[in-house]
Order: sequence, then structure tokens, then C-alpha cells
Amino acid sequence: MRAALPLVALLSMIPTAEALACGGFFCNRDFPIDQAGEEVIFGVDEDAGTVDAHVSIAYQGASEDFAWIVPVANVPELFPSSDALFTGLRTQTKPQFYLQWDYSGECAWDMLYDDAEADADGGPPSPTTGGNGVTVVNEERVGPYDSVTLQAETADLLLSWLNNAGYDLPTDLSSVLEPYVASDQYFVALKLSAGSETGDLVPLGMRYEGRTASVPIQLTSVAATPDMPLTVYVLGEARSVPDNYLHVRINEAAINWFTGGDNYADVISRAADEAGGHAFATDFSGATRPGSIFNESSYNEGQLLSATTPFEWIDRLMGMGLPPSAALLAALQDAIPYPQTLADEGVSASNFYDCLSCYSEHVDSSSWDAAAATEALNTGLIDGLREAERILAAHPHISRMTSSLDADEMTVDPIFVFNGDMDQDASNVHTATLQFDCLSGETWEEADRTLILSDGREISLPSQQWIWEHETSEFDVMEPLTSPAAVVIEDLGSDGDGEMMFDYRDSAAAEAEDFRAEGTGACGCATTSPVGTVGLLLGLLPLALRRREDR
Amino acid sequence: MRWLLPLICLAACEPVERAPCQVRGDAELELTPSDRSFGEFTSGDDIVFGPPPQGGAPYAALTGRVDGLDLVDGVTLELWGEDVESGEDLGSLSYETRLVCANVGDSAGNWLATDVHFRFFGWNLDQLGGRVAELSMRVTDKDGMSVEQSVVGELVEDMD
Repeated sequence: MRAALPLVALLSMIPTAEALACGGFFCNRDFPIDQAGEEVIFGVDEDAGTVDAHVSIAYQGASEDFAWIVPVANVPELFPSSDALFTGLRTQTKPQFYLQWDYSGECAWDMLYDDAEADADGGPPSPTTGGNGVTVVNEERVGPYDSVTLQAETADLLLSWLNNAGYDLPTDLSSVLEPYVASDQYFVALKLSAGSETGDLVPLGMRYEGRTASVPIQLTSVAATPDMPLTVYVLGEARSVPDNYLHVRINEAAINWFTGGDNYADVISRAADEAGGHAFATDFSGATRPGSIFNESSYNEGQLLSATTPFEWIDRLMGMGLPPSAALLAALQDAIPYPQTLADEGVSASNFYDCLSCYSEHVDSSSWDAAAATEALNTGLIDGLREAERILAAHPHISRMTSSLDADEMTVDPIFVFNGDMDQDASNVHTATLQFDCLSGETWEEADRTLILSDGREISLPSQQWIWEHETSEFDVMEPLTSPAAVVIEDLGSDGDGEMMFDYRDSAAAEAEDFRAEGTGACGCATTSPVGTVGLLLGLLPLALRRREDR
Repeated sequence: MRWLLPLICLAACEPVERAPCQVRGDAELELTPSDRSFGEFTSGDDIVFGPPPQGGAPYAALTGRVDGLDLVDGVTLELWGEDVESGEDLGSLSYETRLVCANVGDSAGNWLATDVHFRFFGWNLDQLGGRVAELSMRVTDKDGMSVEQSVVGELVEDMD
């Protein structure tokens, strides 16, 4: 695969508590990959006039073919970042959807008890002229990367120079690079250093002059997937909002509460489409948590340096409580080589490091160098964790915003500004209540239910037994209420509360009332229950037609 | 069991309230620089432009408001610009998108295209300031019906 994947995130995470519970770094599990689309973290210091941008980089293909490029407004200082920063922020801010069960009336509990049991099983140097219309501002090694920062007179010249220098970028980038070239932007290009492998990829950090966070999304269009999620974290003094994209508030009835909100990405995609394709939802807004990613006091470098064997070294390291991450795995591989023979036998790297002594015959202790191993760890992981903590300590507030874009929607680079006037806090934890309305003697399975959303909407749902008998799901029954995906579409900026363009909240509340009063239909008809799926579909038809007219 | 489903209810249904953005009257597009409300901008006023913070061609932000077209299935949005005095092409752009049907505020009942970026492709900042530009937008629905509108003003660099 020759194509560079600009600004596409490679994200790996394992819940910390679970990992530590098994006594190893990685719990003898294959390292899961959460391909969450593009993620960018900005730290904006308006007083100093600097922007830190941390960008995850994903790539599949041969190491020698890897290349990556991003435009920046000013010459950046480059530094290796840490995927622990992404993991830490993602863990703090990821939207979570919880459904609380509430039993009202006189539920018969025997069946509930039985089923509950059953369920339980389950700084740049001077510029040099590169020649041919290209000015090289800086060349340096950054972590596993060889980097070059440069300007060019044309996109074709830029690509030609880079390809001649071993940066294997596709020529069809020219058209999307040209506007950036025309406005005298700088470009940072990366390739893997000799001896580095694609497994060594770490996020790249860039610090440059500026006061505004912006994602050069037009360049991403070359490597974008349909409905590609884009998540932006902005750290600064206040809540951040999209300035030139719209802001959407999602319809909680569109969330599938019965599967933990696993359709959230789809809801975001639909909401963004309803706002014309250029919109973000706020996943979280609140205080940063310094110390949540790396506890400096628990890291004892002296203990590592005095370790006389790799087994002793890794045991001591394990006791320091570092969170599992791709960067940790890569750093361990630098410190203690992962034997190819074990890889050939199907033993994963994480299994190997989780129990090094289990594979002692594959570990060369005779050439052990604790200083070199510790230095590899520091370079590959600890420095990045410290940088992650620095950015948390430097900024009191974090906002996480998510969008979803198709390649043909990547026509405008989203810009984010701070707004201290708005409500500063937006929780990522969402809770709804499923109330079982038990009549006397009914079991919980027989009882009709009410889903109560945080905005007060009460949505009537049939009994669990009815759902089973009709081989459907609660979410399918709720389908008439799941559109629109955005109940509010608004135009926000750096002050005030913005301008609301679309507000469906009253209509959504009225629809929920209708739904509650009339079953699933749009009118007040009644039948005896239950009826088959055909009846259900007939009942939904009026609402579906009405929705079409509303649009 | 109180779970009730309607089998035959069409005749008894509540009347559907009038939906916003229904097609009514003649097709019309209003256009304004995004830093102005509709009706504020008069021909010859300043049109603010500037560089995107992280690169790309300079841009001016425009907002369009459409009435009289059914845009529920999306639109083709075309933008183009011309130097009124020299006739030079200042850039053009065309893409498929969807507009927002506003149901609150001054634009309630209209389709809105907010913060549409006209990009001065091929031009640098210092080449644009002081020019009198005509920036145009055309909105075309899926049936091929279209409306277009222009604003004329002096380009002034001021984009924070």
C-alpha cells in the first residue's frame, strides 16, 4: 500500500483495571485495535500564542512504503507524542450510555431472579534550499520517523522533491495539496527511519505559533473512508466549539440504550448529515485531570537501572503500574527483543512480555544492558507520557467533539474556538431509566415498560415477553422516534450561546407523548394486544409519512 | 396488557402540523457574508476574507438562505467569484451537500447554508485585499431547479 494515510488514528486500548487484574501488562490477550477514525488533540495556549497538535498515525503496509504529510501554518517544533495521551483522554471523555432498570408496581420476582442468574454467565534551524522550487526548513529524526519540514512553489514540485527523497507519497495528492502550497503553508513529511518498523509508529506532536485549532481535513479526503469519524480534543482555558461547522445535539431516542449505545457513531453520522455534513457534536466538556495518564511518583528509574536481568527489570516495571498501550508494547520490544521464533509459534508479543519467565529460553540474558533497556523505555514511552501530563497540566479544560465526514464533504477545514459564555460542562455519561410498570401479579417479563430519557421524555415500550414473541427489539419498536438524529442544530462561535437554526425538542417531546398515549401509532386508536409485526408496521406508517413531510 | 397497537387508525389521526421548509412561492436565494445578518449587507460593503488557521487557500465565509425549493434530498452547491474591475477569476468550487431546514429564528421555514467557504484558489492574501469582488452562489436541487445570487463588495482581510 503506497498511499499515505494522513491524520488517521491507530488506536489501541485495554481497560486499565482489567489489564492489571491479570498480573501482566497485556493480560495474555491479543492487542485489540480500535480503528476509531481520525483523532487529533490540540492544546491551545492563547496567551503564549502556541498550539500543540498531537496526531495519531495509522498505516497498513510495508515499512519502506510508509509516508505521511500534513500542512501547518508555521514552522513547527516536532516531538514524539504518546498513544497513552489518546488512550487517557479517550477513556475520560468517551460517551457512555447506561440504562438503569427500575421496577414499579408489584413485580413478581421469581422469574427475574432466575434470569438474572442465567444472565450472569454470560525549534527550526536555518532554511536550506532543496532546489527546484522547494525550500527545506528542517530535517530531523523524531522518534521512529525521519522528518522534513519544507515549503514549495507548487504541489507537483513538493511531491517530486519528497518522492526523490524517499517519502513515498501518491501523486494524486497534488490537487489537495495545491491550495495549501498556494497560501505558503509549511509541510511536515514523515517516513520511517532506517531500522524502524510500522509497529514502531507513534503519534506525532507538533508545536507551532497560533491561537486556533484547525484540522486540515481536505488533505484527509485522499485516504478517507465513507462516514469517517473525526474526533477532536481541544484543551485550553474554556469550552471549545466548532466555529465554521455547525453544532448538533443528538436525539437521545436515537441511541440504542439496550446495547449500550453502540450505534452512537451512526447517530453522529446521521446528525452531521442532517446539518449539511459539516457539524460536530460535543461528546464531553469539562476539567482536565492531571495525573490521570502518568503518575511520575510511581516510576522509579533507579530500580530499572539496577536490574541485573531482563526478568528482574520487567517485574519491577510491571509493579510501576504503567497503563497498557501500543507504545508500551513497542518500548518493551526495543528493550527486550521479541523473538521471531516465538512469533512463528504463534505466541503474541503481549503474551511474551506478560510472562517473560515462561519463555526464559528465548531471552538472551548474557547481553543484558539495563541502561539501554531503560533508555529505550524512556524514549519510546515515558517521554511521551510526561508530555501527555504536561499538556494536561497546562490546560484546565478539555472539550471533545465528534463528527463524521465523507470524502466529498471534506471541503472545509474545521476551526475550533473557545467560548467562555456557554455552559462549560457537558457530561459524557448519559443515563436513561427503563421502568417496569408491573401490574399486580405480573412478572417483569410480562410488564409493559417506560423508557425515561434524561430530557424527560417517557417512551412506552411493550413487555420483554412481547419483544421475544415478536422477534423484534425495543430499538426497532422505537424506530419512529429515532429521527431526526439531531434535535438541535446550532451555529456557535466564540461568544454567547450561538444561534439556533433547528430545534426539534418540543416536537420530539410531543411525539413521545403520542407514542406513550397511543402505543406506537400516530393516532389514538387502540386494539387489544398483542398483535403481529404486520400490525406494528401499519401503525408506524403514519409516523413515517409524517416524518417525511416534516423534512 | 396495556400495550396497544393501532391497526386501523388512518381516519382518526391528528392532522399533521405544517412542516417547515415546505415549497411555497417563488424560488429565491438570499446571500450574505457570514458576519452579517440577512438584509444587513448592501452592495459595496466590505467582504471579509482571510486564511484558514492551518492552511489552504484564503476564504470568505458566506451564508445562503433558500426558499421555494424542495431540498430535502440535498443540493449541488456552486460558488464562484470574479474581480468586478479586471474580470479575473477568483476561484470556483462545487460540491454536493445538504442544507439545514431552519425551524426557529429569523430563518425559520427556509433552508440554510451557513458558513459556506468561498475559496480563493490560486490567490495569495496580499493579492486579494482591496479588490472589488462579486461572489456568487448557486443552489440546485435534485430535480435540476436552481437559484443563484451574488454579493459585491470590497475584499478586506480580517479573519480572526
